Amino acid sequence: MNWWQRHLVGILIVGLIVVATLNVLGGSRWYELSALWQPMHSLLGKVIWTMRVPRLLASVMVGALLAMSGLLLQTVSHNPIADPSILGINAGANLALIVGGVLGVGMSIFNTVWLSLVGAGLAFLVVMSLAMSRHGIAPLRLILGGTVFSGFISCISYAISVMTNTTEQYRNLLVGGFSSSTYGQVVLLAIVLVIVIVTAACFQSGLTLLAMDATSTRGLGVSTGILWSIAASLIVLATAASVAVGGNIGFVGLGIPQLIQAIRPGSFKQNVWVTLLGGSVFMTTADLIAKATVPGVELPMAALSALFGGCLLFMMVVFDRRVIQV
Amino acid sequence: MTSKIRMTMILILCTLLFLISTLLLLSIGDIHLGFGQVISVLLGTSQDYTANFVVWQLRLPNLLAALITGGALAVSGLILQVTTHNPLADSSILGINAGASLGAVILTAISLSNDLLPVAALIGALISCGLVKLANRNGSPIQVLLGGVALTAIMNGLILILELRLNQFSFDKALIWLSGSFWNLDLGYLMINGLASLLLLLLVMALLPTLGTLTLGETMARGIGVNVKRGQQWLLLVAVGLATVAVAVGGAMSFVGLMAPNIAKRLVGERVNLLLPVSWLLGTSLMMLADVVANNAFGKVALPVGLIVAVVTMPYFIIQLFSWQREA
Repeated sequence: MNWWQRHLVGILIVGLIVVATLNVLGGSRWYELSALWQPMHSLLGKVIWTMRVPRLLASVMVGALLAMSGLLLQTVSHNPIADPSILGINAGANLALIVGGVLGVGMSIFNTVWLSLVGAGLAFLVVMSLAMSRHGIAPLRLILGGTVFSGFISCISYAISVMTNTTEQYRNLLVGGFSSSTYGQVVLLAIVLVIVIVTAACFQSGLTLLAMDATSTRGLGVSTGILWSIAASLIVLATAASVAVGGNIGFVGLGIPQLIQAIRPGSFKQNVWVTLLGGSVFMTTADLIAKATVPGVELPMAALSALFGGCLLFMMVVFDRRVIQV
Repeated sequence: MTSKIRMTMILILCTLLFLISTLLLLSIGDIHLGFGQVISVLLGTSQDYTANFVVWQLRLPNLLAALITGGALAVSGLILQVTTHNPLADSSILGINAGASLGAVILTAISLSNDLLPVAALIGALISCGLVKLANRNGSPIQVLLGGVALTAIMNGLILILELRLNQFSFDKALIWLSGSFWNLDLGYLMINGLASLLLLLLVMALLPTLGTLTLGETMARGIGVNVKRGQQWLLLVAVGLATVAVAVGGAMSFVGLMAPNIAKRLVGERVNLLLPVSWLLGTSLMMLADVVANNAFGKVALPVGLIVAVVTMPYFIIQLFSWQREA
């Protein structure tokens, strides 16, 4: 092990602090470092504490949640290229939000969460039942079927929003981003993150064993059914909360666990916390890029993450032998 | 003999479907015309001013656009399926449509005129075709499909960034290139693209013998004395060209090129001289019917055609994926 592999956690924490500071200071206007010491009631302090800090916190936590759900999904599906967005979970949560909006459900934080939970859960069930074959989950069905299914759901969402003249809402969900994050959303994300972290910590050994093939896991006396449902509910919960706050951000769950795996190969247990940190660092950086590269324009977060994740996926498909062994 | 009768029947039925779709497209709309009226307008015997105006000015462009996109996508899908020996191949899943769309979007971002749009789309399509070929190094059908999915994600991301940078509010325009819609119904523009697709279809006819031998498998084809590599390359180029024309007219429509040839194969088997016309007929009919539904089924709002197409073809893809896996 190189020293940077051993100190990966430390490096990521330092990275997160640096990027977080830049994220708070940067944007359509850059502030001096001293802006952080300004009193709360001054204009500058207000901008920092009511707009930029919640935005930063939201992106940190969404990154962590998405990376976590991606890692879980890859572990339980025995498949390096699984991602919540590939599996239609994002699209399902989106559709539920659109339908909710059309039916006139008020978009309070609580409502958005349960709507996206229901949508994400249903989509997950559909994709999983599509992917189930006699030999467990068939990876090709999971990925191709899931991708097309999520495209299908997005089309329905778009059709509904065109018919009801609410394309603005669809646009916001599809484009994604944290520009309108509030402290309410931050609290919500924090609750979900704590639930996910605590559960994952309690069951980390079991979840690690799920990565082995089904017969060995069962041979070790692990009840796969319960672990499976725990993993599935964590995935749905984490993704739904992320979509409710950040819109349709895909491929983070694919990219971050794979990058960490490439830097430091290891099991679920060894890599889960590093992955969480990596997701946060990535999302905070991406958010900074989205708001600061072109002054006055917010680049679409969904597109940025798709660019990054798509390139990675393409590389994996072309150069990585593991992917083909399905 | 019975099989010959069956084939004739299928051809006749497909032609009937095509004709009925055409009549439906021309007669249904805000101003409703009877089939008889439409036919007399088409024959030039009608004196009714409104009927003539509606058919020639309002509905003909849609008809042309549907014919161009549906036919081009179906034939390009057929060629891709035969040359790659992959029943799930089609220009949308391989990322060729997305590449063409990206080319078009880049052009609209840097210049105001749309004249060179098909050229830009062609360049984009060729680039993404090259990248997909990179994923096809090992000849694994799964790898190609996944590579295409990844490419589509990348290109769609770029399209979204470019379109929203141009104008934060022109979101609906971005969606043309993501999900497909007849965005430019100018007759001159349609004529140029129609001519291009016609030329490409003639080229496919000329290459039909090669395509036929390729259905036998590469070794067999080589045994008969066909230059497999050269033939494949030509056919691939033509397929990319056809997809480009379709995208230039209708944006990135999904899976028409998968659905039409697959149904055609189920109806007439592997014989390409039948597969080609039946695929064309089915592709165009699908597109025309989708246009009818998109414009009329939802009250006052007209949906983009691409959405209706996607809602029909995507479930078909999933079903097809399952039966393919079971065979494999």
